[in-house]
Amino acid sequence: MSMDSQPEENIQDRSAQEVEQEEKRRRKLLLLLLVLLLMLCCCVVFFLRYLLKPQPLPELLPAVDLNYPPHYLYSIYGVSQPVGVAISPDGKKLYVAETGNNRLLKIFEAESGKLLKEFSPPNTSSAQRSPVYLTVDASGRVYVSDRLQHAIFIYDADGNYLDTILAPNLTLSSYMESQLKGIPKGTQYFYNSFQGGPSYQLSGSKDWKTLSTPKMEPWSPLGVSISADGRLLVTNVLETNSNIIEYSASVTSAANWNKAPVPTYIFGSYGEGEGQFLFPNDALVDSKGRFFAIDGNNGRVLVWDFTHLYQNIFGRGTGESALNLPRGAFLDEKDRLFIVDAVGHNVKVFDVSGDVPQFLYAFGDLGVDDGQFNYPNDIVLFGTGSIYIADRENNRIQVWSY
Amino acid sequence: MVILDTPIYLKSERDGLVKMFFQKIIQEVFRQQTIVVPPHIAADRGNMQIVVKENVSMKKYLIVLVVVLVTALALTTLVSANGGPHGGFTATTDACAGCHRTHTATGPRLLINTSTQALCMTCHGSTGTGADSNVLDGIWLEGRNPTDTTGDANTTINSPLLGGGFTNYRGAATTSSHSVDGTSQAAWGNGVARGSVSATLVGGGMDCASCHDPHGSTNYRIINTTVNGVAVTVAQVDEGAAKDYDTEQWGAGQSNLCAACHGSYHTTTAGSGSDATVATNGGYSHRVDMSWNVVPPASVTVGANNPETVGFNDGTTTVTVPLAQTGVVGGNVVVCQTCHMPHGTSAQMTGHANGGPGGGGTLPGNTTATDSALLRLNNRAVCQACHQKE
Repeated sequence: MSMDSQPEENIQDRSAQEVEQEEKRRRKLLLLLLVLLLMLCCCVVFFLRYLLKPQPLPELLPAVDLNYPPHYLYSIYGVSQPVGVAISPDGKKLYVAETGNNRLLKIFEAESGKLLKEFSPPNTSSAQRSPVYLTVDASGRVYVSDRLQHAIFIYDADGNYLDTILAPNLTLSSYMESQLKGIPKGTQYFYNSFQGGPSYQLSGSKDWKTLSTPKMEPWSPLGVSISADGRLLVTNVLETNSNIIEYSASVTSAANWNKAPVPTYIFGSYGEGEGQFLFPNDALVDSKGRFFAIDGNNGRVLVWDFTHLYQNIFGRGTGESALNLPRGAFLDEKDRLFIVDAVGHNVKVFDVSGDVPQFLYAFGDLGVDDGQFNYPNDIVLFGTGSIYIADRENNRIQVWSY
Repeated sequence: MVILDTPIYLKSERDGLVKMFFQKIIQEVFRQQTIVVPPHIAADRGNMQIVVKENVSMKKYLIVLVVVLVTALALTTLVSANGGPHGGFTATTDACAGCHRTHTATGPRLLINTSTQALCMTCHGSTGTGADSNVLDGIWLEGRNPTDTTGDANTTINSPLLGGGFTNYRGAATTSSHSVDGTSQAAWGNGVARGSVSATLVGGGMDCASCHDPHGSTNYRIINTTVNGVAVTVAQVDEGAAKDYDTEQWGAGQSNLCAACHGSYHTTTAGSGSDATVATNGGYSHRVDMSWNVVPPASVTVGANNPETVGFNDGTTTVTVPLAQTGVVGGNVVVCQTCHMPHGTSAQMTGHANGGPGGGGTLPGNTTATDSALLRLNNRAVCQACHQKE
């Protein structure tokens, strides 16, 4: 190797190194550009989506861990002692059950709070009905428990009456079907438990006829909820036979209920021991299929696994997480359990995604000002954004948000 | 088998986290217990030095579990003489904080709320979210346990409460009811003369707690042992664990509850309905606290039929009234509640029975045309149940 060739080789090496460094720099720049371009695209897409579908930003944003308390937004008035709330699948309609005045069910425009409609169980006076808790299925139909009628009334999304679950294994339409040997098209019917048997009117007829009172298994439905996979859960607070009744998703996806529903599982019992409850106000299913019963008068939550095997309790004790009189509840998609504490005058939130429930925070306190509660009774969330709470003695629905 | 969910960190000379399964090593550490370490928490960092952040012992878990269960059971023992959360409090109960605040109360009696009624209606309102005794509608939402053979065992779902309802009764709006909204109340008969009225009761306004003790009581239906400053004793008879809310289970002393505020109406002297000497007290008054078929004065006629079990039938309608028990089913004592309902009634008053404005009369307490003065039955059917005039 000659001495002359060494500088040349050095020059070539340096040149090669420079080229390589330049190449690296260009690759970095390219990568940076691509990242920036991707971010720009995301911003454009999000902006376009916001323009096409203007909604509060929290409802557009994807679900994220929000383990901090929400904040008060505004209240919807025009309700008298509301005790139950539910929201339509698209988040546009808010359903409210009130226990004051005429004990009506009301539909509000969720965003504006504008009253859209009032309705009630057919042919009942205010003294003959007491709607309490509500839930909405995937197609928007509303299920309402009625404490005085001992039944669950089903309405369409606009509040038009559809059917009644009269007993754990009996609907009004299935009873009519069996009595009339098929329900002629256009037949109207209703059942008011204070007025004897079911009444019906055939299409084109002016006469109402009454059937004998069906034989019904006694029950007292109170809490109603529909799981993410469509199962209907009902808490039966009949002291002599209190339990949780589970129906398959075929009930909430059925076109009608002319065929009587059959519970797929019944579990729990009345009492104060393990696996027992006193006036369970709600039963919910989390993403793992576990069941959570809000044990109202024992001030706690009971847990069963997905096979209905009883697991444990939580929520009773002392401190901020202790439940007093838990009432309505809601499980969000992150398995955060929101429990309304009626005499604690707040909402307590637990993270139940793990094996051991973790208390996250409580929000609200006693009062009549914005963000304060006076015997709240129920809660519903839409996505991760809006939270609606029935503030009973303040005669309003409070709207909170993250 | 134990599923270990506590993170275990293993130091390694190699970079990065390598998923490994150390079942045998872990078994040694945990004295041959079979332990499964989920791969995502078992990580190798090279030198295989094991640092266990938290040990796991089944015995410890069991001890903790037993302690928790015993504590939970102790805390949840809330049974009282009248069922539900009204009594049976343990030494370390958390129940006080459910209704009271020691230093930040906003209502009297250290209540967390200014409205006692709102607190009670959280369970006993029309929604029945915490009780079957719906006192707003005067309905017992539950059926009687068929296996309970004590008492009369006749309660069916949605039976009318014996005490009536504050808003509705028997499916209709009330025509008179006691006001329990906490405001000051005028009580007829609260004075020496029967026609007088007192504007204030001992303790201020009237609410649910004026008559009932939410902490439990030795009296029937947790009635206070002191009402309006007057000692009250109401015995409870013939009732087991399951309550009988539509059939009277009153023992002796039920009239004492009403008399605590309406004392001058509490006439127990024989012949007081015709005794001119009592007229100085503001008028004659029907006697109470006597047997329905006690030998009456010659001028008074009482029917032959037991007013509680048979009553009076006019050919189409039968009317009966409840009598106080004397220790056996089928009592015989006439008390205030035989004719009146302490919560409220939907009885209709017409014609001569309508004593209020618009009805032409001036009966004490009647303030509206339809005021029914808490009477249990329409018009004067309560009279017919006993006196049975054809």
